[in-house]
Amino acid sequence: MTRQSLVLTVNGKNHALDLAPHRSLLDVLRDELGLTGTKKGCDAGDCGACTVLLDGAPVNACLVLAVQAGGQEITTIEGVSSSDGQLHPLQEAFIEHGAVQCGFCTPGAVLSLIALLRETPRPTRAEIQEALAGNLCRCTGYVQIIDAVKSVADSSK
Amino acid sequence: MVYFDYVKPPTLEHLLEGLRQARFEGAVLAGGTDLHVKIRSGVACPRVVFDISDLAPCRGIVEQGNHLRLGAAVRMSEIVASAAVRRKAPALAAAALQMSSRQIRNRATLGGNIVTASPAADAVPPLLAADATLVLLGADGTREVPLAEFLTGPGKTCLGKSEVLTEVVIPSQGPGCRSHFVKVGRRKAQAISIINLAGRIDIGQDGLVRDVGIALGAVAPTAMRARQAEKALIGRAPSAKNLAEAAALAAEECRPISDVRATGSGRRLLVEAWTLRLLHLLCETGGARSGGRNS
Amino acid sequence: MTHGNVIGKGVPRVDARGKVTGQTKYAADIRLPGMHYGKIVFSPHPRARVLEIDCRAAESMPGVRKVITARNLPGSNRYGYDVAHRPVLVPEGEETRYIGDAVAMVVASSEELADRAAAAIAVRYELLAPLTSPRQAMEPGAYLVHAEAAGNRCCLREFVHGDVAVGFQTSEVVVEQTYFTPRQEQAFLEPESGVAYQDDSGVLHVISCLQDPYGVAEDIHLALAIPKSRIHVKGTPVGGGFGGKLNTTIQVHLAAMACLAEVPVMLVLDREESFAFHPKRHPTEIRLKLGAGRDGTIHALEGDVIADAGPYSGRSPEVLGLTMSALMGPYRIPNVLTRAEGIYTNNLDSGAFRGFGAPQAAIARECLLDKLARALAMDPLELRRRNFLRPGDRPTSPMLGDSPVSLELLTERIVEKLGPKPSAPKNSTKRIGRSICFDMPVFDVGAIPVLGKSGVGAAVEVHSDGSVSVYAGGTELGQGVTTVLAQMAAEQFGLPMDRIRVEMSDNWTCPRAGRTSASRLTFGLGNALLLATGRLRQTLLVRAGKMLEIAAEDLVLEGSEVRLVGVPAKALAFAEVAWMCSDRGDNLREEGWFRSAEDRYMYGHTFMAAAADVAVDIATGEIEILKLANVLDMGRVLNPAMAFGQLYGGAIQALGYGLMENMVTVDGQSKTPSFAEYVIPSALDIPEEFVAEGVETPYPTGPFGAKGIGEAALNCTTPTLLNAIADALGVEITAVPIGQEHILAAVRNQKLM
Repeated sequence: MTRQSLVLTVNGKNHALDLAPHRSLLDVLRDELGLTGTKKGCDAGDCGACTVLLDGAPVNACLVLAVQAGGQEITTIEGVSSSDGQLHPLQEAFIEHGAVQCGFCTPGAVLSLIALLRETPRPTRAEIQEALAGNLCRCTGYVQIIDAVKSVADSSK
Repeated sequence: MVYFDYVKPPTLEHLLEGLRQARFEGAVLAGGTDLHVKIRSGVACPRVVFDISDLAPCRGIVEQGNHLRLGAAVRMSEIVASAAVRRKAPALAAAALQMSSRQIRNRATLGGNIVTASPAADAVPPLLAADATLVLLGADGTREVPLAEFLTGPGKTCLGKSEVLTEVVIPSQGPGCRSHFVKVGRRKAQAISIINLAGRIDIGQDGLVRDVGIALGAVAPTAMRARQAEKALIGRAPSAKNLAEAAALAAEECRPISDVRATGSGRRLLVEAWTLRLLHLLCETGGARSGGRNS
Repeated sequence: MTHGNVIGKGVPRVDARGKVTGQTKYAADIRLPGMHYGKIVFSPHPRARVLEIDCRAAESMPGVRKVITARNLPGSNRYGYDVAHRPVLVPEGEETRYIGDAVAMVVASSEELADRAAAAIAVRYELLAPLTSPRQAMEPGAYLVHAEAAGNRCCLREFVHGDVAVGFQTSEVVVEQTYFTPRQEQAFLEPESGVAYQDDSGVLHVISCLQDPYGVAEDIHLALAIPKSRIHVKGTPVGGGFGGKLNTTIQVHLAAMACLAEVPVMLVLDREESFAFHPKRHPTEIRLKLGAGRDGTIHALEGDVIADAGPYSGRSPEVLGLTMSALMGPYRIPNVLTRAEGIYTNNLDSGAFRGFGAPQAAIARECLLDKLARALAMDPLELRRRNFLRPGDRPTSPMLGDSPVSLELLTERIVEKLGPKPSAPKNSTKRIGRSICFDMPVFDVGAIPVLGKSGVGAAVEVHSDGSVSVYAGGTELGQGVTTVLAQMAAEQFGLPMDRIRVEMSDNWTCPRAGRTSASRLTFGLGNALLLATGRLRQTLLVRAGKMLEIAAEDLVLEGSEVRLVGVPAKALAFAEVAWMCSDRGDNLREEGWFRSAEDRYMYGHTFMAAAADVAVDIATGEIEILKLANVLDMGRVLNPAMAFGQLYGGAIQALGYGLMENMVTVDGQSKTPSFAEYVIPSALDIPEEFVAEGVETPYPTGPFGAKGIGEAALNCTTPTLLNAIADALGVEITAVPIGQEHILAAVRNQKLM
């Protein structure tokens, strides 16, 4: 097994790493970079808790090898709010609408939905459901998450 | 968990050479949505993983004459977004859209969905119904194999150990032709299909069925064509009675097993019901929808 | 008491910011210096004798710190709620009882090395035939999962009220049916995880996601013979529990690893291990019989529940006690005989899951009521109304209680919410169905009838700067208890939310509060907190009265001040008073201890109505949920967004229970070991229209009138969906989950096309 040197660009910051190729992006984010906001719920691409954005597109970080992600822009939940601590409007809406319960699915769901809002600033309920379908949530029944997205969409011009 | 080397071959030649050197211990990585899970669970233990996700000859969606050529490493999200696929192979576009979740569609590839050879693979019935062929590249050059021959059993294909699937070639759907895909899962997203099916129909000026393809998934060791049902329709009018008869034949000729998702008899009921619904959708005026979820 | 500044308001959750930014540290996010990683070797066989465990290869691997088998363990090697008969590790010579039994453990310097070392442990088994169904386990001569449990009976609960023989004799219509309910997995997103270490004073710290730090400490003490004074258990924010983390999960194993390897250890189960390991909702077979007069008055109910208890006792006696009790629901039934039996098998373990046995009962009861309505040719809602408990009635249940009955109010609201029944488009194969069902969920009011474990404590401390700490030993599972307690303290002291800090789930810093179950925290911890804050308010008011030379009775706490009523100028800053109290040596930490006045079998009850409109396509079997409405009597809504969140979330778990979820075992092996096979509802599976409403009938002894509401929505939503589907098709549903192929089969059998 040959380790590989690469640079991962995470939340706009470059990290030079020397990695065994089998390691998933999820494990490297959590264990090498200390970005534990990305959650491991199943390690098999079934739950969406590890959703991150790869060049803006939501993917399950558990199904991406870290060595595959070199040269791509990786966004994790830690990179969503601005550096001065200002939350993303969607994060604010999650808080306001009671879209958070246990919170374990929340980072992944926020990222999936931010990707949606970038593509489709005024999504329909069906589009929100579709974008959220890869993020399992066992607590909320999704209703208040959908409400939160709607509120952001409605307030955008 | 196994350790492996990771190689990103710059050309198909490098890939073939790499596979040859790795002997039987190389694995091709396209989207990784299946391979990573298999490696982690110990089902696959490659020594070298060859990443073809950026390999140019496996990447494009090209219309060429009467055919649509899709690279094996084309991602499901790219199929969903492709106007050419929606126009020329709408059933495939529909299958790609209904597959799993957005996160998975952003990684999973067409080639991966085929080579994995899951009897429930969603991209397979549309390709099978459309008589798609596969381009396989090996040390001795390329060969083109009909998809129907490529799949030999659950998880089994006729792909050689040092061969790769590079392209999928789909005969374009003509102007009078319609196709569609239906998936039945326990839930509406991220579901392994209980059954899935695709149909393609061409109705002549005389109002009779000129050509038809019906492919069923998850009801036999590989996805299968419902030949009896097709035979019963060709040359006949797509009347409610004829369609019902064809649907009943499809249910008869499939060979479903019972598993955790459904019983064999339950699957037969679903095949009959959904084949009938599919045929009705195909014969409705206005043509087949190219998207939307069905279950 | 000043009311209504924070209570009942849309106050944001205190833990929301950490959760939306990813900053909240769940157990698996903890990093300790020198931390090692643990791995458990589980038995691959549901029943096998462990002949030999060969650890030599694993022990010689680089990075391996310790390999542990039963030989290495100090103490009894037994733990477990109810009966301490669960081995930490199955010793050589003994039998495994299910695939969640552990035989060995490894501690290594990395997760990968621990995995590899665990794989290198060679265990020889003698395979034995497992018991895979309660019916098989009940047969005479069946092998005994536990030698002391004759007939493999884990528990038997019985309730007799009136005389059912007489009741059925006087009945003009009798209906009977047997219902089958599946094994439901909690499917929390965060797998069992934790870290543990021993500090230099010999104290063992276990930091883990759990629902009962006190129970965990007890189990560690039982199994490993560590003195209770040296066990510190700290709960982390839980990424979903729903009862699945109520029993001790991995914590005993983790404690043993940390003690024996003498390093900090992290242990996180993978998804497959998690699904195999923790107890789930009991699969049941329920035979239920109802007798009624022609006018619909119910005369008698007889019910018989056989449940798969799995390999260990755990919560089975309590859960099945509730199943037995909940068969009667919110109805007057003069003659009752119900029994529920838990049977040991070698299948997956069964235990607590939101609803705690009541959802199974609700399915049988509400489905059979619809059958009775059909037999009587009576509107099913009318039938229910005729038999409702009336104001002043006590429930027909061994779980006594005297909650104000609000069934007529719920009926009014649910009918209003439901609106006119939709109609199917013309020439369509769709059929429309509607159902309204009711339930009487219970919640603990501080008297869970388990000796020595009732009562709830909470402490509150005012610091000299005027900020407040609350110490509450319950656990934040996502239900929002931290926020509710902060709201209560803020309300009581007239302070803004950000002046309150709530520390939860710690067996050392928090007074004993017992377990987080039975929808008991808002009620129990809330009452304990109000007792504590009440005393502390008095201290503050008396001190402020002295400072202002005014009688304490004339002062109020509001707006971060102590004020003279009606005289704005006469006020002191709260912080100033706190500082003065501190300076003068006043006691600024109070503990409240709450238990209900009556000792045994007193429960809080609440009432719930659920309604659904569905469209079922008889050509394809597709089920569309057009509308789902839930109305729950919440006593008092303390925080609307969180309260409704419980309704929505519970209802969708109920939808999964009825329409898709089943943790299938064959020969004791799980056939649904992942989220790909064990399917829970996605965002696309929720009803097209989803209405939730709370009515408020204040509960006399509830904090601010509140009731426990966490579990309520699950119980009657499932039968409502089933009955609506049955109504659409004119068929009977007796087994869940129900899928398209079952609809098609029913259509074919009834020749509905």
